[in-house]
Amino acid sequence: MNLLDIRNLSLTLGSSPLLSDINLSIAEGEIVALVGESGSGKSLTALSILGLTPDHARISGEIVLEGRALHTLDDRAMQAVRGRDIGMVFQEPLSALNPVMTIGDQVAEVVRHHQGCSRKDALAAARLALDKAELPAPRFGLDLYPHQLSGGQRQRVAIAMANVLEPRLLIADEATSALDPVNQAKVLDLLCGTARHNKAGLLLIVHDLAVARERADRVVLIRQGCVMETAPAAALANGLSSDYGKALIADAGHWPPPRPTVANNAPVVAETRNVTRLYAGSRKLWGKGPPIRAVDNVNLSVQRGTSIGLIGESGCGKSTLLRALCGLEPVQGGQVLVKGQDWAKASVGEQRALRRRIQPVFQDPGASLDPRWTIARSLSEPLALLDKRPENPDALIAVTLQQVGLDAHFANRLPHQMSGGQRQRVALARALITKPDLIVLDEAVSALDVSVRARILDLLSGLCRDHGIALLFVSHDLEVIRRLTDQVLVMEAGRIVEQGTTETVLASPQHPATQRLVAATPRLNPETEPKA
Amino acid sequence: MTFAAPKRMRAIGPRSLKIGLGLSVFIILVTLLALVWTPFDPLFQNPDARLMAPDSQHLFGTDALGRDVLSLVMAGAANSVAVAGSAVIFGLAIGVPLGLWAAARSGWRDDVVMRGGDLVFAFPSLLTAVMLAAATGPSAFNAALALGVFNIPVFMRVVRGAGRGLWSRDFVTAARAAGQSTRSISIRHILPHVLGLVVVQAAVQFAVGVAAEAGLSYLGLGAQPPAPSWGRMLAESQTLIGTAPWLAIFPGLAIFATVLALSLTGDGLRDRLDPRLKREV
Repeated sequence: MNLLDIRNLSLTLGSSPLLSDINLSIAEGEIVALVGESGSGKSLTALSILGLTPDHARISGEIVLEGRALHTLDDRAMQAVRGRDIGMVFQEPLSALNPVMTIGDQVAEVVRHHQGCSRKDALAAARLALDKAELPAPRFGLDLYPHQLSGGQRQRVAIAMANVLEPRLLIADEATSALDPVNQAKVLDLLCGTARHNKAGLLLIVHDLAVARERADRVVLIRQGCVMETAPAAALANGLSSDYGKALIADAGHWPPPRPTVANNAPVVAETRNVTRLYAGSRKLWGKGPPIRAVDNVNLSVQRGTSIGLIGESGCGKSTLLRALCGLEPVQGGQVLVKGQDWAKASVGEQRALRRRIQPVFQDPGASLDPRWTIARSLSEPLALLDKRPENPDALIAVTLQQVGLDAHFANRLPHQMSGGQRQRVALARALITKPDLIVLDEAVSALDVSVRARILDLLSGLCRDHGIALLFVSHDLEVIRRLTDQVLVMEAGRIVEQGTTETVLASPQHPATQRLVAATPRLNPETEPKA
Repeated sequence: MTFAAPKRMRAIGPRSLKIGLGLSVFIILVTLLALVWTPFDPLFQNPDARLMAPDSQHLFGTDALGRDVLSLVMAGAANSVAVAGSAVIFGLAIGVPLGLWAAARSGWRDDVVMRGGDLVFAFPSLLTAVMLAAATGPSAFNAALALGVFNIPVFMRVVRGAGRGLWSRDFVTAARAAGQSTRSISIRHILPHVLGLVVVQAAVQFAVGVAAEAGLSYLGLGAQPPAPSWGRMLAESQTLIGTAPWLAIFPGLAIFATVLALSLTGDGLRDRLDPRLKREV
């Protein structure tokens, strides 16, 4: 018998159907991945199971958990089900945890709420749950606060909260998307291990097909609120039957066209020499703790037309290095040179000239554009860097938009009137408009859907090939690095620990940090792609 | 996806804004009207009509000097609005730029500005007004100045707090990479985002200013006789409150209505502008 059965679930809000005829089942101890692009209705399906649908939504269909018809329960009865019978883990552990409550109290609260036992018993149960989530005492005491933990550790606390009453069904909504591959693998091990051990069902909501293939038993593909295909997870490697599934796999495995190799004597556009970036140590009552070496003695040089990847676990100093390269952060040791000129020694006027040579693109396309500015206004902002203002800025904006594959009429839109992929194209256009030598991209494709990501990778590759623009690409995602970059640098704790051509480094990693990253990266197709 | 706020919040927010705005508009209209017309000359003393209870001719009665209380209340509104309004403008003019500057410059410069604000906050505003009055003589201008000084740290904190968060956003970093100066980013990116909060705070400070001005006038530290003022009307009514309660009731009601109108407007605007209560579907 199935643990969870969703039959013909439909949900309409206003006049727009958000879910239509969803059928989904999970057996005891089974892991089902719900895969789809943003806005496809993945999260809404999960919230429907919990009875947390938006006000005024009209719902039809059946949701049955272990023979209980959840769709007939009122809100009060559902409150007893949430947390006790169904545990939920959200994407953003920092906002899912209460910052002013200790982790022990937060886990214990779930127990007390549902079982009404004493605080002492609840804390004992919390201790047990945290131990199971691999947060053992005494290192992880019950009296810690969320800010004292790393992202992966916070997600373990969230899992302990979801799992403390050993619910029959666990739902993880993009629970590992914000983590680097090493932490992602550890948290997924924990989630899937717990579900199998307790013979509970696990609904894994992901957009990463490789994660779905490696972790789940079955996958359910969803698009625009409709189930497109349900298949065994292995089918993600061998081929799905629906057209949508095929297209999705093609996009996930998409390689941008090859680029010609760049001559060794190509001019250097930017380099760092023994760069060190210190952050002030934590404030103590008297004086300060020792400074933190975010970037430690790093040498790197980028030649014209090359594409370089920078990888490493969260907090290794990748983003800090990028910001230092853009002259957005001061350095405490060494030099950052753009076209042979030192940021630190440049006058204000010279700094402007340097800035137009090097432009950044950030991870979240929603956050990197001022929400109150039209696209045209955002795009004209960097034009102040040019020696003389172009005579016809509107024409330049139109041309640049076309260069990133957007129609000129987008110039009059506001960011919220565009999709994530379109916004990221605009962010790229803003970086391109000053005709820079180097674009630095900080996780610039991580937030994008598979199909959009494939198009942006093509675009980047084309810029590199046709315009000789160098790319410095920071990412957790080794697949993206593999496809887009010629060389790769690996960072750990502020230092560069390994570098070489991308192919060599990812195929036979030498340093333990690289080996960990390569081993932890999920693969869509284990047979055709090189395994470390 | 954001979910709808509980029903209670949704019901109260717009209604308080409507009532507050309606009342505020009414008060402003009366204030403007009083500049050109009042039922009687507010300064005209009629010895034959002293301490008359409200009737059809003198709707709010008359005071010990035979002046029409309705005319005095109407004319007093200008004083309250002018003092509280200039105090708000004074606070905005200095507090907002300082707040923008503190948000942009972290470290010791931020510390100096914000601790300076704390220092002003720690000082009772009434005491400052008394000291100013002792040094330069009591006047409406001094009252506005004393209240305005205390508005500076209020606006500074609002702008700095919200602005600080914006400085770490990617679009600001992108603007820096596009070569924009700190000042240009503060004015073009940060200010438009914090403007909503500033407007809300201005309405609240206006309300506080009206009440505080009444307090200062009551102590004789505001507008000087014969200029009409609600606070001083209250002070003068004190000895007669048993025989002529209308002398205290009507200026009191005027203060109450004005503070209520502005507070409701401020709260209503806050609910409207607070993104946490905004509904997106």
